[in-house]
Amino acid sequence: MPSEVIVGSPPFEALPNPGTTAIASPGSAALPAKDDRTLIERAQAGDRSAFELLVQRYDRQVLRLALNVLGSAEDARDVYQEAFLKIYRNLHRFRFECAFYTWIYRIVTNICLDHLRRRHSHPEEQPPLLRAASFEENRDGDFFDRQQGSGAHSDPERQVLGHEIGRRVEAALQSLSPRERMVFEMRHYQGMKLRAIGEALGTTEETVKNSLFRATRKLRTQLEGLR
Amino acid sequence: MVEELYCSNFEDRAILYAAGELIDEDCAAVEVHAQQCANCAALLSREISLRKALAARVQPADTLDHSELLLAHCRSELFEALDDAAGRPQRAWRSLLTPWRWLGAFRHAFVFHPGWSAATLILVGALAGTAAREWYRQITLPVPGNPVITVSAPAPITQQELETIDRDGIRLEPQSGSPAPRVELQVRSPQPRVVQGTPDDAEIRRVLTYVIGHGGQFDDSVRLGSIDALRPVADDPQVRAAMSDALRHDPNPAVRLRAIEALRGVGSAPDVQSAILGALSDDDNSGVRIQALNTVIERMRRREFPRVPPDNRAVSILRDRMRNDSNSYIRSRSADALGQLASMDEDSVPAGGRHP
Repeated sequence: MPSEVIVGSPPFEALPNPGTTAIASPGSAALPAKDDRTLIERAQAGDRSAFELLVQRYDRQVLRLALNVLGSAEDARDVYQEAFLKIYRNLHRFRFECAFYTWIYRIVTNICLDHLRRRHSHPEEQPPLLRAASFEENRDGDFFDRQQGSGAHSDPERQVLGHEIGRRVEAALQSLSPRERMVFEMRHYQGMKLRAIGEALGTTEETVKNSLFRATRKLRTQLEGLR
Repeated sequence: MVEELYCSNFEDRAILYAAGELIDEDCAAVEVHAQQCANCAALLSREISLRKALAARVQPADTLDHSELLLAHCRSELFEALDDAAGRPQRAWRSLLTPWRWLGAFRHAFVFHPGWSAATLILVGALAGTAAREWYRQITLPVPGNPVITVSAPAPITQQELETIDRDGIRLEPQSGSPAPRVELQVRSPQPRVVQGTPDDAEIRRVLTYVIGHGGQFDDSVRLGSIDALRPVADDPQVRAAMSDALRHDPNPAVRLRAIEALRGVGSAPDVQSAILGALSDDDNSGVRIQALNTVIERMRRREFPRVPPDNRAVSILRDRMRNDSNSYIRSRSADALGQLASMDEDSVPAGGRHP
């Protein structure tokens, strides 16, 4: 039965994020482990529909990670397929010693890292990079100075500048090593904590932290050079 | 524990500060140090600016799979690969473990032993009667020792209140230990109040179904969140109808896709069948059509759609998609599905053959 908690002045200010009405997606880590457990046990016993439900619960996040890291729909599709087939074949080995999403991420990140490493060793197979434009080359001031107060969408010049920033950030991200790229993606765009990233990558929080430091310094250097 | 902070170790701390990885005490220490040292303040400011620039980047996932078409393709390919991996011999072996197989064996045994049949029927009847009586007692009587209590509900949400809830007036929060999120509604008219509950509550369910059906009043994320929230209670007729309606009319393909997913596990109600077939036949987004196609095939395999021509809408839509769909995947998958269904029909024809 619904409960009525406040009668009186509008309590909109009490909400932490009034604009963000989003619920955790089925793929998010916030889902209850107990519910997962039932599905996993059913899937381990051979229930195909339970496995499909698990796939639908996590595959959005998996595909998103692959698309963001690899920047190519074809590669992301390969990663998706390979990852979930691997999960299906090895599901009987999952012993609930860690969260299911951590186990999935471990498999997915390994496959993504393989793809990235292959690209690093065969740069000719790399998909076309976003063009690093020269739009800002003659402008005054430092790149970071121009970030102050940016974000308005009303001004066409600002919009062009926003695309420009996007291109430069994209190009800078390409300069990271596969592991740094992965750590950076998982921290900044997937919102994972360093500890969870460590678990997914099979390493310590301290090592992940060092990767994040190196990645941030590289990015800063790359973006500082653009004036 | 808060570590000592100097200019020499400030950079790493500033990176963690901007990444949101520091506890409150460490954040305060960083801020205090930055106030005292101009160089470190500049460094911190640059870290925060870098973070802003990275946040402003449009993520490739948003541009490469905006309408989740790729996701639908990936799922189709995966489920097809799993079908291939399952293999027929394994399925035949597994069928030994199914109850129908054993029931079939008993049925043949009883034909030759009418006495056993009668005794078994009496025994089953007696057991069922006892169990049903006990179950009825449990659901109708209060537990001894616990008083019967009456709970008064808050005033129901009126139509006027529903129409004046805006996008910021609804919040869905995941709850630990339960698949259903907690829903908070902020009603402003005629009198401000907050109503909280879960989708198990009829009033909350009514609001969420209203949200799904009103694309103009609520934005995409709220509608997507509402569908996810209602998924555990998708069997409810009101919810089912709202989701079928969203599948037919929502302007956003991602919402329609999510509605199909939610309806996937729902039983074979005619309105749901009709909405899914309608999506396969008429939706202009191929991702939605792919998901509808997969759902139709799955349901046909489970014999939830009648498959006997000529009055079979599902088969005729599959034929139409096989010939006319603009998407090659849908054309080939429809053809495969029709072939598989034909072979299943042949398998299910009893000895003696079909009718002419």
